[in-house]
Amino acid sequence: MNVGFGLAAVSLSEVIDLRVTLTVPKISVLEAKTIPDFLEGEIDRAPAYSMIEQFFFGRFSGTSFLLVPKEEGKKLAALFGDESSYRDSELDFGSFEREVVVEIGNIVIGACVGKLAEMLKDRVTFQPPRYLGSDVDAVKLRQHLAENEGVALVFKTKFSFSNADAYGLLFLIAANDSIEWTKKAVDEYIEGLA
Amino acid sequence: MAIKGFIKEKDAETREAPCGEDALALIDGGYRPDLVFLDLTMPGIGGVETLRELRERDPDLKVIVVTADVQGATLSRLEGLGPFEVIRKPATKHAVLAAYERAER
Repeated sequence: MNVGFGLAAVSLSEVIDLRVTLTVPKISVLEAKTIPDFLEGEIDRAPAYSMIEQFFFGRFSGTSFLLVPKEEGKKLAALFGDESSYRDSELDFGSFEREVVVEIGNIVIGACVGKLAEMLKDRVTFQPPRYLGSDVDAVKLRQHLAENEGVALVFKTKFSFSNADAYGLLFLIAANDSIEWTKKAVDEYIEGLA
Repeated sequence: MAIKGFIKEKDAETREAPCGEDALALIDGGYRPDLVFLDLTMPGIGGVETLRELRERDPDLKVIVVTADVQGATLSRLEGLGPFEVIRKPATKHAVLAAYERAER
């Protein structure tokens, strides 16, 4: 898995011309209903996050969440949007910051999920990312994830932009009906390395 | 939306469609763009299918695809549909205007 995420980091760095670091992903298998507890234990102690959700579909399918600490949004808006972009957007700064965070979510999720899918010899398609708010705390996260059933395969990575000391958290949750396929594909990938 | 802002300085008339179906409805209603910027990730039929439908309606239409999708398989599918260019996200102002100028020639 860290190969896929490493390739994703390289891909991102090439496109955005910034050094992007993705931590080796932590992978956990758990009952879906325990995901809120699990995520609460994994997220840092920022009081609130901006949260983006994006579904992906293929044999490897599921949902991804990008969490950006609220105060990081302004740093990211400055990284990705220069003054002329902000001016050209005709948005107030809060809306511009939101658009930037959604776009970053789209790019980071696209790179990580896309590279993982390639590694597992699959191809995924994406729904447009959804912005779930800028004040997501543990309670709201729990409410949003309350309906999950079955077993979940959860990947967690932390990404950071070294030039700007800005970071976020990415979680991928494989859909229940793709768990068996994903496990088999990961096993085949590992066997292929031997 | 950001691309529309970038293109403004070229004094080009622009129209936006939130999904492929609306874009095709514009074309079917008689609108004839010189250039299309197409995001692959859209609600509804999505960007690849939209491009396929655009090609059927106008094989010569210049379409610049803008995407965060890094998969080689996606890019291979696109090649068969003849986009004018593919811009990887983030679509910077420089990249957009450079692609626009190439398409204008």
